[in-house]
Amino acid sequence: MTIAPPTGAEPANRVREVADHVENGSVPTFIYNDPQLFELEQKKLFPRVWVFLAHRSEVPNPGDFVVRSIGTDSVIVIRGDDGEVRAFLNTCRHRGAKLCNAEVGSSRTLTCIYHGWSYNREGKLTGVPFGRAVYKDLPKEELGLNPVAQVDQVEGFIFGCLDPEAPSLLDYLGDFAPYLQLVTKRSAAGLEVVGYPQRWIVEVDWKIPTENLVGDAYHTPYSHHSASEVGLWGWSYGSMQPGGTKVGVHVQAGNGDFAMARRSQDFTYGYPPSMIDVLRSQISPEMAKVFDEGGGDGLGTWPTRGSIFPNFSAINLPIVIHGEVTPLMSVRLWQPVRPGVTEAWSWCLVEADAAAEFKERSSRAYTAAMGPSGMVEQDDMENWRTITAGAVGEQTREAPQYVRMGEDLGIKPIADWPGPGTAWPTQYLDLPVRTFLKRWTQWLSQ
Amino acid sequence: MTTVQQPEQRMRLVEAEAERQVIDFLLLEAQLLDGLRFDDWLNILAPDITYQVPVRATRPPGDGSEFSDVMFHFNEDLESLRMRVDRLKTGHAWAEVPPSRTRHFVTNFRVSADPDRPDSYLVASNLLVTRIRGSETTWQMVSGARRDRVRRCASAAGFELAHRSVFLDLTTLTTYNLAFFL
Repeated sequence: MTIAPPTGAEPANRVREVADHVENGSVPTFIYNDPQLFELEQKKLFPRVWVFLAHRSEVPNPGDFVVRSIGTDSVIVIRGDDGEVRAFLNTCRHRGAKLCNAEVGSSRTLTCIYHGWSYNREGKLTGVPFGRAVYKDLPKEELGLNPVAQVDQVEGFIFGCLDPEAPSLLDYLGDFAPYLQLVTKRSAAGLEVVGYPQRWIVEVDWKIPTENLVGDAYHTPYSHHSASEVGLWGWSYGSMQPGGTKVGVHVQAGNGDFAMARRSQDFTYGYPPSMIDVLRSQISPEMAKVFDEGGGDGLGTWPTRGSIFPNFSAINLPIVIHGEVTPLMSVRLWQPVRPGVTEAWSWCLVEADAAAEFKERSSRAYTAAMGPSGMVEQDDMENWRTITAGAVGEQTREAPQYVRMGEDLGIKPIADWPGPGTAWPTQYLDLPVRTFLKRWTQWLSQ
Repeated sequence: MTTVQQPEQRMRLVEAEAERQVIDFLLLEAQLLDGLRFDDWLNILAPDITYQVPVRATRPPGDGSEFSDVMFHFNEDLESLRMRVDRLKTGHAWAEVPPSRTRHFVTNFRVSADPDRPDSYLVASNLLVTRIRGSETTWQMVSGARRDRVRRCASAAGFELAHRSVFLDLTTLTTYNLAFFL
């Protein structure tokens, strides 16, 4: 795969070009393979937004850590002895050696192999070999690990932000935050990650998979046709077509865009009815209305897939395993590695207090459909790779893409949507993709 | 979930002819996979086959197993493997249109008698799969350790694959998908 050479154009002008395109319903392909724009994203976007780091169940006990990234910075996420989860740049304060080369573990201290400096679980410098023999006045209090400025959790999802001036996580999520309850509150104990996340490298720009999950219902019948043919989907082929229940609602709320199925109230997605009872008993009255009445005409709604800006997505779908409708729940992170290359991360989540049999079945449903071996996701990656690969071409990368679905039909938002944000009565819209790209240009222009 | 005893810990000698037959069976299997003969491949799998490729994460030495016992890249039985093959046969599995040209290099065989059954063998081997599709000019690769259980049966092949575990060397995969069998 070739990376496109720098154009020599001023990056800021290129961002303005993109903004103009998006305003007029087109997208220039160069944004999916451009080293200058990648660099601009690393300077202006990833250091200033809230980025998903880990689920709380991945670091349950003091000393538990995982190594993740914010932009191209490696970050250690660790639970302290005080129970707080913190995140630090994965670099020793002494001479910059990478502190931790494991991906997950549990440790009393974090010790650098270069000169043996060690840090406690709160990131404080506690051990300096030879100590006072080599330093008279070492300012240890000032040499703790570089903290990620803000770390916070919502519904068990831990996010980090490198910008101390950024608004709080809840403010950043805005109207999106309440909707998380619909996928986290089927159990009083919340969700837990099953094992480790799957990780795999794809030669695609991170924006492409994010966009796919932010607002592309259109691709499902054709790209995932084989999944329909083998009976993998827990819904009918017709329900995925325009006007169908699976593609019934799209919601824009705060920094999130997500799709919701219109469902008959007894379509439980394969969750045991007791879990649906728990859900109804735990969610807010507003979300209860969304859940049971949002579809209109006696239909409820169910979130199926979506993305939080910039690169965090979620999927909650019914899959048929051994003839039984079985739900899968996954969150994913499209981690930028270098121009045109993304490390895809995908976590399987289940209800923490579910029966072992349910957890196993849901995990199998996840493996069957999602991830690098998933019978659904395999075909997505095929689409995505070809876009970035083609964007190398001088003419191809300047050719505009057509993103005006929904415009000429004059589709209006749902008038009496019971939840925050705005909802539309179909997912066959290019509006979510344009909103995503508009946000992207705004961040890169500041 | 079945686990396979590490053969090097419980090596029980296998006579040369049995060892030769078991290895030949696994090389036949590789030939079927590389030849895209998936129906023939399904026919040499045991009805109760378990097929697992656990997800791996790098841990500090001594800090637990790197291989998850609950999260997998593949966690299959015969029915789910058949569904995967059926999907490939639809002609609409775009990830495999055109199909991968895989080459399974199976080596470093060590065969021992299964302590649980007289007609069953435990096989440790190394796996390297190279993959090229269409006009790609860079090979994708997967390497790992296989732990198989192979049983004699009354079929043309003489054996069936009862269990496979593949313990990958990678944590982050470098193949853009796992649309091929390991």
